Amino acid sequence: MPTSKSYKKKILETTHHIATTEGDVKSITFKKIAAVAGIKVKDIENEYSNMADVFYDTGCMHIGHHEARSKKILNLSGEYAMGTMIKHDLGLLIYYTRDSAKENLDPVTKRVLNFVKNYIETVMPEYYFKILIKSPTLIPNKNLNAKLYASFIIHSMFFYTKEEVISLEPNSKELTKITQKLIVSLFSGSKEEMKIEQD
Amino acid sequence: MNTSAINSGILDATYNLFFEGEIQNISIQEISKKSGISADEIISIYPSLDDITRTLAERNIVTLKKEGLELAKGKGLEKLRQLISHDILFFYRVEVDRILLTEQTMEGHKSALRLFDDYFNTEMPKIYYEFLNNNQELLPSKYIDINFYAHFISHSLKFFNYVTLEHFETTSEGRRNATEQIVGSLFGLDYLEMPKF
Repeated sequence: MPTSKSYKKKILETTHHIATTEGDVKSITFKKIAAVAGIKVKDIENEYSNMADVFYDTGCMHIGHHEARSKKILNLSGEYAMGTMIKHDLGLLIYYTRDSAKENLDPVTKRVLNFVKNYIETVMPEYYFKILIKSPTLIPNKNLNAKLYASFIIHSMFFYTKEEVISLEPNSKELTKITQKLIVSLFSGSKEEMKIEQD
Repeated sequence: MNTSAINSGILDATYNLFFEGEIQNISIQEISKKSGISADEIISIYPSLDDITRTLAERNIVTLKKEGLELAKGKGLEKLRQLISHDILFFYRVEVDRILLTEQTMEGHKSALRLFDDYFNTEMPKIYYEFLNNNQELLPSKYIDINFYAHFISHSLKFFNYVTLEHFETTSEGRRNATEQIVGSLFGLDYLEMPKF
């Protein structure tokens, strides 16, 4: 029999799965999570009293997983770390921008999105800064402020969330590849592609 | 004064108030003082401040686009420098103005700011496409799609606003150096000379 702890993990993973595949968090209920996870509604009620807390914990769990992988990517070398980190973070930004663009967001979704926003604005640039410090040759000019350049990289990634750009390539996977290629061109000079670790 | 002269007088006075850094104090009364045209006469042509600033934005965008397209016909690094300097300086001022507005004073500038954003997002990439298509040797890689790169350049230029840069570089010189270096990196250069902000 799964323990209470394992149900919690299952609840959060199922919620994350439904949110990313269906995109409509408003439709997620205890009943739906139970049906998809193959558990009883009572099992969820034993862990959570409301969906707001489920959403918040799901957001925290997802960011926790994301950051754990970011830490591993830091161990890669120079350009390889940069290209892989960009690909990794673009995956998070796509869901963040999709959900934050929706109108009339409920307070629960806003709370989760604020948590993710804070990660993107304050934590994410630190990882790029660390890559740049570890591999200073990636900074286009040795006098350039590395923290500023890390912030510019994050700004660049939001390029592919613009409506005008999406209209050029509606397929998000293709657009992610194009964005990644554009940003890494800043680091790889005339080389065709920067090596990137596959997920 | 005929209607056309009155109209120009209102818009020129408003532009001057912007140029003097008075965005947070711009009102129909201030425009009236500056232009010597009565507030009633101004209101008969432009019922609200938003109507005035929107019309002024339309006028500025026509000029901005015309100048941009002219520069985009040119070739070489110097033309690129002129084109980017032209856009970056204009939008730097727009963003400086935007941060000075409060929720209340924003009311009189909403339509103008929306027009600038639209221009930035939809028209500017077309100008960079035109330029890059004529200057493919300036692309950082021959494998890059020009259309996407034109959008990428336009998007990148929005990074160079006072609020973002000030957080990292406290001096005007520092902000200019950083901008020159990062803009340069978009074209595989150490830096691209920019105007003073």
